[in-house]
Amino acid sequence: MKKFTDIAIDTCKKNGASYADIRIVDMNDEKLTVTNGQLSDITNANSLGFGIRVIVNGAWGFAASAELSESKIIETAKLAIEIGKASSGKINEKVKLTEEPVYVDRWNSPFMIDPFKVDINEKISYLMACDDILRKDEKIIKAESYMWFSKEHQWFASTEGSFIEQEILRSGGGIRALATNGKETQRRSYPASFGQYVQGGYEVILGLKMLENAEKTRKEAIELLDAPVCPSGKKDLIIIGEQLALQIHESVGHATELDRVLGYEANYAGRSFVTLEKKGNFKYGSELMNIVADSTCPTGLATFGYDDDGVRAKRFDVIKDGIFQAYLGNREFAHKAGENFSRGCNRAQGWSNIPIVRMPNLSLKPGNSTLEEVIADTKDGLMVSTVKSWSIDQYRYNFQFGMEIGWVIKDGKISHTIKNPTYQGITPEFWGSLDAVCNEDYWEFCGVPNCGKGQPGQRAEISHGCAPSRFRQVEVGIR
Amino acid sequence: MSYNQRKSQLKEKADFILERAKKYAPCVFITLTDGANALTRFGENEITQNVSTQLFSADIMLACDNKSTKLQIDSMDEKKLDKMLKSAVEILKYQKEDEFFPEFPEKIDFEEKSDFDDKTAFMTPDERAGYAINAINKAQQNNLDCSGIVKNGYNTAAIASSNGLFAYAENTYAEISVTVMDDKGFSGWAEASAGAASKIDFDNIANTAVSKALLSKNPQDIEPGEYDVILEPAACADFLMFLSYMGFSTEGYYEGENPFKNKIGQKVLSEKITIVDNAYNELYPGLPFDFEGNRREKLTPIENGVFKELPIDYKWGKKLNKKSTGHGLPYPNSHGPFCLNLQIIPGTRKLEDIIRESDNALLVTHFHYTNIINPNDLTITGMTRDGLYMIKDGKVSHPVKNMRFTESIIKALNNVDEVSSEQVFHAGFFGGGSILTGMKIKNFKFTSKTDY
Repeated sequence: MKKFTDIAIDTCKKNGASYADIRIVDMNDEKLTVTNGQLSDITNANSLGFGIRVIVNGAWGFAASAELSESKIIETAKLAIEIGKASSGKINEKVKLTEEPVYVDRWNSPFMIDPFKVDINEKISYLMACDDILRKDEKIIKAESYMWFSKEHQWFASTEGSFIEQEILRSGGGIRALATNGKETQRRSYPASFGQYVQGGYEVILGLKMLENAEKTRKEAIELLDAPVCPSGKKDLIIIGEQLALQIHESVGHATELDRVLGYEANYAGRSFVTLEKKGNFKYGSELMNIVADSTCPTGLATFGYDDDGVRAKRFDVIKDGIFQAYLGNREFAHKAGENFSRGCNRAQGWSNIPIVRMPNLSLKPGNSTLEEVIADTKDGLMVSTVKSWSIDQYRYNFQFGMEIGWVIKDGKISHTIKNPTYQGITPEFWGSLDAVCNEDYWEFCGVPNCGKGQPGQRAEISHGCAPSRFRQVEVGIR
Repeated sequence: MSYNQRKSQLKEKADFILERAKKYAPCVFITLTDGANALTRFGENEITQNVSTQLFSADIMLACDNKSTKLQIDSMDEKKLDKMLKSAVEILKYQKEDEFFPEFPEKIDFEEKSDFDDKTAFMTPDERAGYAINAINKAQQNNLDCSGIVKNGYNTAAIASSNGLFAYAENTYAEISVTVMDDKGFSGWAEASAGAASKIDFDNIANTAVSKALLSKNPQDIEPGEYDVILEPAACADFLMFLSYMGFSTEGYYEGENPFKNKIGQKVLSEKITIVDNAYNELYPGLPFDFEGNRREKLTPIENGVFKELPIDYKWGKKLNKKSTGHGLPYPNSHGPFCLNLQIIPGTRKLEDIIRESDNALLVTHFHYTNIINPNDLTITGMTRDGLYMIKDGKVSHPVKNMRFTESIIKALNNVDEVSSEQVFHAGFFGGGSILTGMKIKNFKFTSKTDY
């Protein structure tokens, strides 16, 4: 690949680029889904191509192609230059990248069992066994069991001299049961609504214990049909697992992405209420709110050696003791937030997209409580689990979430199951009401495998770690 | 390059794949797409991203004895293809026989025509930059910030099979989307998509976004509750999308989730609502064939509020003893047949006439980040965005701060007071999209507010 990257870099330099990089990406995906006893969705995909990014006359240009040949690389590099020149007709200031060390390195994510070498029969048999258990009741009208594996091999080279090779393996899966009583349907998913994903190999699937949890999943889906509807009003709310992960993702992660803050996403996903003057002083939440960005932690979906700017992975505080500390930025925007170094948050989906600011793994640090203590200390509350619906405004300020299942808590005890739980809030008020975070024994990584952003749209994978947490007097049961 | 050259180029690729795939399985069905996509993105009154990508993909289905497997590639690397075919065919050993396996046709009876506009397909980076700069200049003249995209490209698509089928179609597209904001963040927005750039009034889109932003300054607070709303066409896009996914889901109707379960033939929406699926509409024709090799037929899921019919693919045709309506996705899939070219049949009066006769109603530009809360009654939530205005005595009296709605689409579309006469194309998936009208809806529920 070095031969190809050298041609790209050389062509860009000769044609007037002040900076250029090329990413060659070879991506393999496998997804197997069993629906009601039939292998229904099969993904067995390979995507190989390259993207060339240049700065010409102070402006960005980008072009990409799936045809990996010397002549196509030269043609694509020249197109990127032409595009950069067209961009330079309307810029407020020339692109200024932070100075970063040059790296020649190789990084790969660890794994035990290569899922692409596991016998296909073993995978299908496992999914069929889950499916059998999920459908052992006629009220279950649709059962889905699935697993997904993704191997991303990338070569990055820049005019600054970096040459970085990275190989990342991600694995995951899940099960789902849809029940009906003829009048309505209810769904229950395990371990999360779209499955659980981490970096690793086939050992991840074995560790998820989908088979062991299929019966519980089926029973809870049926139980929800006759459960009372979520009550309305203000309640103390205990949020667990994947739902709290999504709350962090939507109301902290996207809100602190520097490109959104600066207005560059305004036409599509929107801007952010976390405006520049809030850095270092804005009270985002209660003192229990400690959010850390970390692309170095093992098994995270957004764990890597280097981002797509060629910046080494980092760990830093985003919110400390409730106070906002740092934006998620890249080499281009760092100086606009008063920093002379990149936070290493620039990533692209595959070879065909330009890197954009992307949140790294973003986690709520554990607190001191046990879940039993938090429940015992809750007089009139709800506990909710598993994402069903999510919506947040263009400033990441007003949000509303729906979950698959909830439990009413009365006088310190779980009283009964409820269906269709929802809650709504305003981001800083909501995080300001955080008054209990469970300890590290309850802390888990939850993977978001499908975060959409940008125009053209790009998908990214991110993990969020958290332990069950309680928020006081939240508006629930929105009708 | 001419139509025939583009067609031949894709045929060559199809033949190359077919020749190799047939060594592994007797039945092969391929969906190929090829094309280029270019997009100039601007924000804060400058061009921020500018990209061009050539995209090819082949979705290959291999089958034997009614058992199937699949693979997807996006390059024509022979070694890789062979390796992937070898790996994919392993699945056939463990796949169960599908009693509803499609009978793929040898030919499709459809009218072959080109919707290819060279100027649109190959718009230069400078031309895109020109449209972007024009919008930025208009915003700057009013001390406003401008962001958006200008996009163009072309798609070529073909299906081919081991029994000799080859069908080809192509189209081009152009799009502009503009958001204009004042320094406090109150905004206006407009967008347009078409098969040819010449059909888009780029100037008008920029002017509309600017005038909406100016009209949005100093918005007032109102309390959540039920209001009559006048939805501009873009605000109706989300309703149609969720209706398509859930309400017009054949798979959901018979074997899963569908809010109209057991209601075919019954009135489910206001009699003012008629929704058709028509790949042959004049505004933006869709693919004339589906991904199973059938000609797309015109469908009327909702006629005067009555739930009339559902899309059918091979599988559901066999199950229900009906003919495919040409709405199949690549086999096998767990989604079932799908409508890609929905159209709300227009009313007789323009939106401005409906506004002129309205009082105490909220005019909505579009919605943001909508999602389903309850699939049983199709309750969704989302935010208003880029212009929410109070109408008093037939005119905009003042802008209003954005609100969150939580409302059943079924309830809302039963409370339709009037459907407007506009027909606006809104781009969607697989070369599809919706044709939208505006609407006036009574008692639409807003459940919370925001400071923006």
